[in-house]
Amino acid sequence: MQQSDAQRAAAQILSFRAELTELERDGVLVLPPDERAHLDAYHDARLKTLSRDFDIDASAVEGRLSIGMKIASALGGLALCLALGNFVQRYWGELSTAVQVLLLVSAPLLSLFACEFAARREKTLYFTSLFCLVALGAFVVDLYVLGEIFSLTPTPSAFTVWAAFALLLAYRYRLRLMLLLGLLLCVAVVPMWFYYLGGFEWTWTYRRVELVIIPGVICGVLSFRQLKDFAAVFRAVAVATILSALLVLSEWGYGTFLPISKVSAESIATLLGFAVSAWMTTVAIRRDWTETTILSSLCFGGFLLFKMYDWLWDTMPAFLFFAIIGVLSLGLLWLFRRMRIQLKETA
Amino acid sequence: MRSLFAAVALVIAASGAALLSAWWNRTGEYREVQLANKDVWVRGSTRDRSAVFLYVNFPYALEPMADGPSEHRRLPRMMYSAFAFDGVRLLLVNASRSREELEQRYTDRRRYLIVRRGVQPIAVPAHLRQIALEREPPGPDRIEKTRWKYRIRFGRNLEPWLVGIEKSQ
Repeated sequence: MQQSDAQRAAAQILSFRAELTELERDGVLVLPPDERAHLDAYHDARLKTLSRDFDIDASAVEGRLSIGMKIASALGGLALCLALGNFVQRYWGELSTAVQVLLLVSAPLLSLFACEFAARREKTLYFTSLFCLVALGAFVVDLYVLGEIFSLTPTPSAFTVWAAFALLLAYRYRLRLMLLLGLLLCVAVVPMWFYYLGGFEWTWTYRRVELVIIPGVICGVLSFRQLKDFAAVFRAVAVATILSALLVLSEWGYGTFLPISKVSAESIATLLGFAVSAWMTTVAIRRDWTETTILSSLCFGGFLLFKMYDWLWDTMPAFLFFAIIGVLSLGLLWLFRRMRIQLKETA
Repeated sequence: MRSLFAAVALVIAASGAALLSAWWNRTGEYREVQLANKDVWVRGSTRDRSAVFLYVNFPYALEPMADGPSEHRRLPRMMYSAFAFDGVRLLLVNASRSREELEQRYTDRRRYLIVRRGVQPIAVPAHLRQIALEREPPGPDRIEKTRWKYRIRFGRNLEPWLVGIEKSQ
């Protein structure tokens, strides 16, 4: 059982208790006192075990506090990374090269030991998550500043090792934030190597956005082989990269490798964008993939808005343009309502 | 535990590879140039102890030897550039995606310098920081009276480093 499974089990117990209280108040179901006491004792013991083994939130208040702690750990990690970067800025000039190298290499190593130390002392991994962010930040600063000190030629290798580092930490401590960062770096690295090995200027990779579709698809395929928590992150990265690449291509057709004109590239990307985002939204709703539903429907909305602007903005007054968008939104609302009714009927 | 050891090994290996690459670049064969005020500018602050960088300002203009205007426009896309060195200035003569192509074409190592793209900013080491910051940035109405000489070496990987700064009135 994972922490998220334990949290779901605790939420189920709490909901059951709340519903039972309601039923007792309405007189629908009143358990005999000894059975009620037995049930309460069983639930208390189960909550205690879950809390001891997984440090779950045993109430709604604790749940809200957990969200606060997650935000605090992410912001704290970011702030410590900025502190590290600013330290390098502020005092760097007067340190000898040997001291600089020593500090740069030791910072990520020390952060890694801090991660391990924190992970052995807490089950919720808030501090571990914070130290992991600092470790990744320190490693980024390490290679970047070593490159500056020795005027090393930049290559995609640095991005590759940063991605591998983030993924190692993600799987070691089961941290979704590190997984997200690692996967985003992986998605960026594939086109960089494609450019670099092809003898092109690899820092211009962003001009050919369709290259990120390949790693995006790979993330989507790999999501079926992951545990539940990580599968959601894989899916989110897959959806975000594939659809954002199509969105950019639909607006800027020059960024394609295909031997077709700019207009053709934009038209194909638009058609594909609408089809893929609609298909992804439908699949995600059916499979109860919340993050995929949100991202793909946002992208569908993005496509609609951009294309409406391209096709209609210059041809009509602004009020009519916004009125059409409003009517389209009503149409979408109607469509979603129909889907909801259909789902209910199927259930 | 294996992932943790792998992460530690990754940090050590990646940093080690960067240091090894720098060592390889700086040992053995290198080419030294001495650049003057016009081709170098310094970025740094005397108010704190932050790092100081040297920017080599190669003129992208000269052409008796360039292959024509169309070639010249494409120069920034190229990975390697060839410069003619007249003792003070570096003048761009050609660029290519292939280092070998340039080395075969410009064989006179005393006259020509092959560099990677332009040149990345060069970090000023701690012992040269003070003298590097003595140079004031030239204003629009101020003529720089002090003559500065920057000794820069390019190593085996064509990566530069600063070895000395001299000034004379």
